[in-house]
Amino acid sequence: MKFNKETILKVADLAKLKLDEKEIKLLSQELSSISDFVEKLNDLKLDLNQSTDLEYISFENFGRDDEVISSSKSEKDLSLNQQKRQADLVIAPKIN
Amino acid sequence: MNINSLSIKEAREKLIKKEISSLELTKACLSTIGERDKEIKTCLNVFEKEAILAAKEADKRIASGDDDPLLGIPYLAKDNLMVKGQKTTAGSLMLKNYISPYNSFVIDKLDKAGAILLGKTNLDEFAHGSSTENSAFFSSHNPYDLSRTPGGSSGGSAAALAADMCLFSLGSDTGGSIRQPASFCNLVGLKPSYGLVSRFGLIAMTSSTDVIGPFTKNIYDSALVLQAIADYDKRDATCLKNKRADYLVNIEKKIKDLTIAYPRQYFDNTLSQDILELLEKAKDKFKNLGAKIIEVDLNYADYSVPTYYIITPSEISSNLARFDGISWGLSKKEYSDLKEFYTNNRGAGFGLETKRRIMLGTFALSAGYLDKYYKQALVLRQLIKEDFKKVFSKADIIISPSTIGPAFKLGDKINDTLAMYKEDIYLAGVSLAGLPALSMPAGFLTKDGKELPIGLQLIAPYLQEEKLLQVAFSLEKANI
Repeated sequence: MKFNKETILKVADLAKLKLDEKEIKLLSQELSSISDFVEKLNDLKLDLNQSTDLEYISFENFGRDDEVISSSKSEKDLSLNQQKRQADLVIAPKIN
Repeated sequence: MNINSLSIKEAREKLIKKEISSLELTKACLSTIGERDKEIKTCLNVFEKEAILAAKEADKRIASGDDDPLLGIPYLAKDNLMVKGQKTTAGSLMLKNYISPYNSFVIDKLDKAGAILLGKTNLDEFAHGSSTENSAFFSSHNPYDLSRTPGGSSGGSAAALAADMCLFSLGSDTGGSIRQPASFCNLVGLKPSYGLVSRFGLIAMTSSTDVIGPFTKNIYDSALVLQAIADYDKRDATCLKNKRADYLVNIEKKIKDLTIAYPRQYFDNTLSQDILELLEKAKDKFKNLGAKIIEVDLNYADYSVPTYYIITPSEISSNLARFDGISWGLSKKEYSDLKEFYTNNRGAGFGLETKRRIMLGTFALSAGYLDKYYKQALVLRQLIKEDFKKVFSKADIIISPSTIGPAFKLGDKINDTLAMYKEDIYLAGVSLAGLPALSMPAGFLTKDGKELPIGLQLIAPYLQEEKLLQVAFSLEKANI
């Protein structure tokens, strides 16, 4: 499949990625050749309704009780210190 | 012989006999990092003070008679594993300043066992790559030839161990990221069965194939580290509840009467003659050990890389959606609305390969293409898995090449995405099927006047690490 600029921009929009002109040009060439490569999968006539569950991955949902685990001040600080903070609150970016 | 070039087993004997101390061992590793890492460039972060303190603590435990197999043994961990209070960058600008608030499960286990964490190693950004050239910080070099890659994505961990900067290291393997660098750096690289080792605290790439495993200098050491990290953990929903086997108890058992299969499709004319010769030697060793060698078919072998490069980017596009700059991660100041805030942060925080994979995955999962790509890949994944199952109904272990050649030169493949993806040709299928496998040294090949190591791969049925290590141990003893 050919990835033109329009397709690249549409996918980038879905993926919430800002790309510069150089990246757009490069990715349209590369995704075109990668999609030709993976196109090989479509050589085979497969039954898409067959089960695709993997027995080693349990798809059963499991729950566990809510446990309050005490954490020290330094542990709390570590969790909160990823962005700017004020007291026990993280300052989130302002959205207009 | 420097003490930092000892195997875990040898070092442990010397520690118990008090011939060396953990402090001496740790200092020897740290000083090798200091001397050699300027040119090999494996470490993103070194915890010198913490390591010295931990080594002193380990020496006290040894003096009190504690004989935990990894007590006092220094190691390095790939920088996609969380270490409390330390940076975990995943090789990305997105997480350049991210401090882990907790330990990953494996780091906790090794801490309790008394192993000494020396630092964190370089990787391709978010583990996307086969050379470490996708790291946002720098490329690592192969100690056997500095102009070449140590492989990837766990290239930093492999190169560091090959250069004696530690006694073992941890990596993660999604489609070959432990086995390929092990092949390039003359090491044993073990990819455990899916679900055997908890991934709590590992930065997710492809949730349906990611596993954590060790790099070691020999098979026995590999079993020792696996024994220490394989355990149930309720914080990883995909972690198996089964009781773990003892990986050491039968490791020396003879392999007479076992059946070793080699897939016709991996030994065809695309494999270079010199690698084929090394693998033939290994097959002869197996015969001498009394094993039976049979030829088998993996009919969907050719489809494993294309299938992998649909499934992996699809899961990546979903797993990496969390990096938006709100709670953590790179956060740019210039934006006019929420959408621009996201796109700017992600545009600036992710490198080209990560963007490529997010784009590919977003496309494969998008309306109109889901059946054509993603669903088709899921069905093929079943067929690949069934292929292996059929082989294991008549064989105990599969032997295959690990890589198409020895380490390639840095810069050679970075602009050829498909060539880089095809590095995984013998490795990706195993990951899609969730099987345990390892790459172990097979010998050396001469390229441009340099002797370069290359590995071979052994693959076992699901959860049969015990047999995998037993067979590998026999082959190693037979001096390939």
